[in-house]
Amino acid sequence: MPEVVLKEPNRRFNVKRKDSVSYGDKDLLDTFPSEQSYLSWDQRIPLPQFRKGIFFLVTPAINPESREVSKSSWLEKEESFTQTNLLESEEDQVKKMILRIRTSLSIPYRQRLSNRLLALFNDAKEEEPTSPGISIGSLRNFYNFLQLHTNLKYPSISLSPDCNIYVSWSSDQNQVFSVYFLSDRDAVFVVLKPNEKHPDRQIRVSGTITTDILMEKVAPYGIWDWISE
Amino acid sequence: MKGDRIPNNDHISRLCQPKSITEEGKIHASTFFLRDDEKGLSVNWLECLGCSSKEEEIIAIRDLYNKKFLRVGAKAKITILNVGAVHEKVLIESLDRRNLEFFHEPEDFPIPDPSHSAIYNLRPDNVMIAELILQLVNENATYPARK
Repeated sequence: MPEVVLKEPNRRFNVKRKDSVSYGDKDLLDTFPSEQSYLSWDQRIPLPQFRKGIFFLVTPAINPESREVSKSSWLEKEESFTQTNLLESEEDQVKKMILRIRTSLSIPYRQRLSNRLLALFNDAKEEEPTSPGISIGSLRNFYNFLQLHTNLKYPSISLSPDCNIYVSWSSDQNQVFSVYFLSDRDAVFVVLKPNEKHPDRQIRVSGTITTDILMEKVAPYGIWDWISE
Repeated sequence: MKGDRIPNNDHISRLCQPKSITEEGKIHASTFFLRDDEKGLSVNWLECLGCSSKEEEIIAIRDLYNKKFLRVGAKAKITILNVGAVHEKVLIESLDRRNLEFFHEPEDFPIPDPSHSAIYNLRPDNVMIAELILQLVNENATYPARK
């Protein structure tokens, strides 16, 4: 009969612990002092101090019943996840993302951009209080695009009726480059520019593409020359 | 009458909510985007109002929007477009020679809106079509929407 080998007990709180913790396919060495409990991310990383006067419109609560909190670390009563919870959750994500943009050093106009997004968020909430303000998927897609291209000029920004982000760059030479950021990694783009050989005609191109290769694919239309700094 | 085509010589108005207005106060193409679940873009047929002047039409349509919508933002605008100009522009310049259709679709809810109409065939390629329509927006034919 094979010998049964019992695993050693978890020594997370043992001073001499040298175990590594595995998440998914990556091994992370856990060097956290064992005497201390784990801290949440916002406790470990000091949050930047934001300018006063930033405010979000509050979504009217349909069911403002407060959550029941147990003394133990587990909830004694588990509430059902409602549509209101989902909306609040998406709103929170949008707010966090806007604050993230505000502190992204790679975005040269981060302050102006976050103010603009905040204004659009509030405009959308004012128009339709039950909307998420800005679609989190679209906002995330836009943010990732900006992270990839840090030398773009500041664009005109608005929201679609579905609260997706729409941005445009235009030049004095009747050139327009617009991008509609969808909720996944896709974007719809439009290029309008004069036809140099036939001044009475316009070159018009549009398509749907993943945002990571968007600029590479529109490069032949001379976009970079006038939308980047 | 419901289902009538709007004549090319007539005009339509579109309410542009603040989220589709740029920081510079200009109307953005997103004002002509459809929602995912929409088939036609809501507009109003101005000649159907029976007003005696353009100014009266603007006042009447502003009144209507302020009664009909929960909230008309301070930055919201009303833009006026000629039906024939929009139809021709999109037909000639869209990638697939799109034939937009303008139908009279009066509504009773939330308030009676006898001039309500809709533009159809904006999809597919709604973004390009919207950019083309935007080129026809004239700042001189754009008015504040809030009373």
